[in-house]
Amino acid sequence: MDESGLPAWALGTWHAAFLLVAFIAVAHATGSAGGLTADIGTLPGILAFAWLWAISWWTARGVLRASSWGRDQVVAHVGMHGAAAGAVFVLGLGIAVVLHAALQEGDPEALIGLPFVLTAAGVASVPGAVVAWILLGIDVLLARGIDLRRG
Amino acid sequence: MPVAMAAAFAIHLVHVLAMAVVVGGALAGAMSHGSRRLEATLWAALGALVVTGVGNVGAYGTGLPGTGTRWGALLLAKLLFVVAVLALSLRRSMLVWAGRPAVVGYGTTAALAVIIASIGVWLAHG
Repeated sequence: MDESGLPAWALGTWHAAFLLVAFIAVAHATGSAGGLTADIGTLPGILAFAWLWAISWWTARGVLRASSWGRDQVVAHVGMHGAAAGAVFVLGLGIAVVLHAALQEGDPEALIGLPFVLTAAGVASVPGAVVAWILLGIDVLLARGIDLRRG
Repeated sequence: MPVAMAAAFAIHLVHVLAMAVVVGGALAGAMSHGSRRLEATLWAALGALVVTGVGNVGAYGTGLPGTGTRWGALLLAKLLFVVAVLALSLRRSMLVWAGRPAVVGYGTTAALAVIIASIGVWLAHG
């Protein structure tokens, strides 16, 4: 990785890792972490995180291009990237689940689920944008007092 | 060795190695004022640490003790320390990007990582 890629790598990893740990912490606090992780399984869980990590990295690269824009433009840009990230994340997971059921488990009727996956991906764009705005708020708080334009 | 046991071993191994990179890298950063390359390495290790940590939690399945038990409460504390070290790491990275000293950030990262590792050892043997 070249040195200019570090901000996107750090931001993307931070967002993916924070989302996963916060999700597990809330699930553990409410007593559902054991059942959730057992249902998902180790390998699918690792693949899902790798997918989230890749999307977070891609999103961070896109968002950082707007870092010199005005505040309102940045907020709109982050919302759009968050919505796209939420949709792409759910779309990838959904297609993987449907294809696994159709190909590995020999259930071609599972392909009927593809339209539902598309619908779910569209719906996921809303929480995707909201999560992106929350993460933007946290990032701004963590950057207080640091002039990143000097880097 | 059965596949499941080999997978669990590999996850444990990567988890321990990633923690070694985080502690060693943070200590090296504290002594050398850090660099962008070191930051990139630390983030790779933190990502690996998180995903293998969740893999370790998943190994308990439905037998995972709840937060009402001492073990479960310590696991929750560990997760909160992980959130703290992640957030602190982003601020430390930002300081490095801006060309400002991050010695305190590296030192705090190493200290938090040692606390997290200590809780992890207790959880594995407690």
